[in-house]
Amino acid sequence: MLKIDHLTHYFGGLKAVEDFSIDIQPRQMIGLIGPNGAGKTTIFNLITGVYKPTQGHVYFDGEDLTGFKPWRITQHGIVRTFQNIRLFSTMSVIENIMVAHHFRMKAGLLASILRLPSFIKEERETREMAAKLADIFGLSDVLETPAGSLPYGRQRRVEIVRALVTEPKLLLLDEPAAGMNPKEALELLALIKKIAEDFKLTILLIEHQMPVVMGVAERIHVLDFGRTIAVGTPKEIQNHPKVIEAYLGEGAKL
Amino acid sequence: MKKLTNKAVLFAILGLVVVYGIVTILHQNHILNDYIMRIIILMMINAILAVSLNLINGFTGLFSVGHAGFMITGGYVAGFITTLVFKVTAETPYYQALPMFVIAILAAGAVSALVGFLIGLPVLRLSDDYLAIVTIGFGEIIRVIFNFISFKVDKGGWVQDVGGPRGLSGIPLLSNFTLVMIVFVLTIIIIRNFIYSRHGRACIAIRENEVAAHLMGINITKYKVMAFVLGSTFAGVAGALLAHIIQMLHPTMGGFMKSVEYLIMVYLGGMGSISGSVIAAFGLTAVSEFLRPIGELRMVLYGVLLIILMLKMPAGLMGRKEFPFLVPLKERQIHAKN
Amino acid sequence: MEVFLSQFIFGIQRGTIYALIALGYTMVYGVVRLINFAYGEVFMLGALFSFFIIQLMPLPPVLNVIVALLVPMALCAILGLAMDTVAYKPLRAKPRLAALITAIGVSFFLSNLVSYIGPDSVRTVSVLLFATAGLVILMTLSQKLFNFPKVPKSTGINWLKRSIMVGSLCLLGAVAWIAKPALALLRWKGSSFTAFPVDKLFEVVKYPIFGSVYITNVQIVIIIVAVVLMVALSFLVNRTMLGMAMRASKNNKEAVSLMGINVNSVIAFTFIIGTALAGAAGVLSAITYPRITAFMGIQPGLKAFIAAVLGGIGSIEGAMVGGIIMGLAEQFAIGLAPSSFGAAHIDFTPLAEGISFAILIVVLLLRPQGIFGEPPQDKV
Repeated sequence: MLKIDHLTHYFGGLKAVEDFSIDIQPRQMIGLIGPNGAGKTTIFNLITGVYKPTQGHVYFDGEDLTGFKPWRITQHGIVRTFQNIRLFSTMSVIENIMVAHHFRMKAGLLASILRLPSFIKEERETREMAAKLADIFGLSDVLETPAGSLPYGRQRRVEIVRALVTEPKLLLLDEPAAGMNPKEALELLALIKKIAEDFKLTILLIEHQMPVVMGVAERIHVLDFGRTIAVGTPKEIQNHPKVIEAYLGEGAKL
Repeated sequence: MKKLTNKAVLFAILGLVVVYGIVTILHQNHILNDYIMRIIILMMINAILAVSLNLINGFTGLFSVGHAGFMITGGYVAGFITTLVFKVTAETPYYQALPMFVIAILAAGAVSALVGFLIGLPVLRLSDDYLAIVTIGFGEIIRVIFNFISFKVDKGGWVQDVGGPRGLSGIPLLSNFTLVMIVFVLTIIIIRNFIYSRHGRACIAIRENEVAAHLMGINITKYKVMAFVLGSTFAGVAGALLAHIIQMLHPTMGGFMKSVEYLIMVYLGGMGSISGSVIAAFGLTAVSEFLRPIGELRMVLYGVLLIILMLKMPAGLMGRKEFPFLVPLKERQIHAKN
Repeated sequence: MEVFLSQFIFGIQRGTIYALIALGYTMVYGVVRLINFAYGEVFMLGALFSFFIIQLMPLPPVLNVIVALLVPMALCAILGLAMDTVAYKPLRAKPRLAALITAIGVSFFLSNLVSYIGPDSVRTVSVLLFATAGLVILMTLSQKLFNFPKVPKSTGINWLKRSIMVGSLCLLGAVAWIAKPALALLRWKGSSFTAFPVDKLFEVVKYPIFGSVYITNVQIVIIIVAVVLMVALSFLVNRTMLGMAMRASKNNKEAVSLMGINVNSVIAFTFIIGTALAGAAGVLSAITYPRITAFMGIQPGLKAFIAAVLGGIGSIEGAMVGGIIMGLAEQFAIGLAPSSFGAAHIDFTPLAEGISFAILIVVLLLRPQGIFGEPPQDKV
């Protein structure tokens, strides 16, 4: 489904990502871990078109998406959340969600300005759908609240809902549980896993808390200084000498 | 499901009809003289300009300082059409002149839209500072161009220069209260409906967080250009109306100084509030007529006002709040249920 | 060839003036990412101050030139500092757009104020200033006595700040009151244009260089002064501690403040230098085109900004090179555009005025970062 071939990216003279390859099959849940500055978020930026890769290609459903604008990549069915939350902060939660459904909606400019019945029907359906999805993530009490005024954890949930309403095939989650305690994190991940099954999603997940990612991912790629140092099941990764070496400096418990 | 009717809209329509009736009756009985009617018309024209600029600056978060340039473009286009193409004069009966004027207004809007598109497409890919400077530059180019464009018109024996540095004069008085009010109300309705649609939501999302909007599948260049072109179109229409009430145009009217006046209206009213722009445009137009005795000092005070607004009152009068009738409810009924 | 050469000399002269203003734009933009639109007005005020000084001082010509250049520079620098403190500093933490709008407000205010002030109207300004001072006093008293308008208990009244405010308002009011006869004496007319008395500074001498091409002593002085100022600036930026702090603030303001350097004073210095240069440009320009109006700064201000963009905004070399290129391009366009074309005798010179904006559009399309600029990197 997603196939990345020898992706390399430089920032000036600095190699942020080097020779990264991955092959993700539909409905898989893959983890991407590594110490700070290992190049995980850069890979997301390369997949979603925020950066253009120096070398290498990104294929999705057999199509070469390398060099596409971000919005086109999203319309192809790849969507992401952000490590540092990027909500439309003065818009209400429900509008944040509805914005992301934008390109799935059909009402043209004229229909919108004349407020034709087709436009009203579509707006209403979108609103209903957004409210329903928000409800699954426990956001139904804050639909009309400006997204920026919510606590951190709930903002992350809004981001995930917002990503889901683009009706993606592949969901890229950038540290969705950051700032949560392990219990909350596990709860959220369980929810994500359930959603992935309900919506037939494929997920690529960046995560810092090792137990969280160990519990849900079926395969894990480990990055260090932009290079892939290990690939395998959570068990294999846990005992991989290179991974232990890379993480020891950080003192992460494996 | 409880049927929810937007009572505010009904009241607003009723209010409009009443205001229209009262003003017309008072005017016919000479209680409101032509001078006051002219101020009322200017208030509405300025409101069209402020609201359309707010669509660009307030709702989409672009920073255009060239609104007067689009206005004057529309004004010249309409003025040339009525005076040179249709040769409307003060003697032309109104029922004959009106359809010609409507054509001129539409042409003015179309040309301004085209110019907005040509400027917006290359520049809107860059950051906001560049847009500011290019739009200021645009105002200057417009001045240069209308200084350049002039015609020699044969007026039964003697040749008259039209246009060029001395401006365009002798434009027939065609903007009356009814017509301007219709255009004003239509503008408000169109911009309100645009903002509360998926298109308007996309524009607001771009203002809030451009990167996130981009990654949620919104073609940001397309929507920036759309907002910019829509705003320019209304500026052109307003220019056409303005030309036919003040009856003369001058190339410098499209410049930086005039654009700043509209910026002040937008920021005074509140960025991202249609209601605010209307209030500010009405208020400032009326006040500046009232302040006419102090002359140019008015402009000095405008400068101070803009600085104080930014320093002490960045949200303006209304912030992002709207009058209830400017917020559509019909599609929100599922909400009321919860 | 002769036409070319003489246009070239005029172009360089025009270009050095653009370059001087562009330096202000580019330095401030480099440090605080603010386009200070008001540089055009500083330029105008530089010319105006110089005009007043020449009218006031019966000095021998050589000394007069120096005084008429340095004093306006100093006055403009003070103005730059005041601008930064009052209008921009409070907005440092706010979105960039806010400061940009304030800058437009400052520009609008200054040009219209100068246009308004003349012998007939200056006392109105004086009354207005006193009235504002009175209003501040009244508000302070009502706040003290009735707590109106309501302020939280914790934020008391800053008496020192209020006193300074009232004091300076009254001082300005008094100055404006006294200024009436002075302005009449100086023959400053306000809104209409005023001729700059070049003859009190120079007796124009033409030196032939090639055929009918000549260069005047005025042009030589302008080019020399501009070059000296630019060399001094390069020295300041590249060889002194202050310059180092400026260059460092461009890259990372947090790191600079962690080094124990007060970033705000670095920014203030940047404003001071930029406005002094713009003031100098105003004086030099008034010597060449001896007419002063309140709105004379708008066009050069815009064109200098375009020069800064052309050179790469944020880059000092870029501003110098961009300014010269702009000056040359404009001079050639104006000098070579046909003033009578075809059977209808269409005059193309008005269109040549627009060449700078055509340059801007081309630069933005082909190389938005300018000649010396680096492409922007946005972070996600």
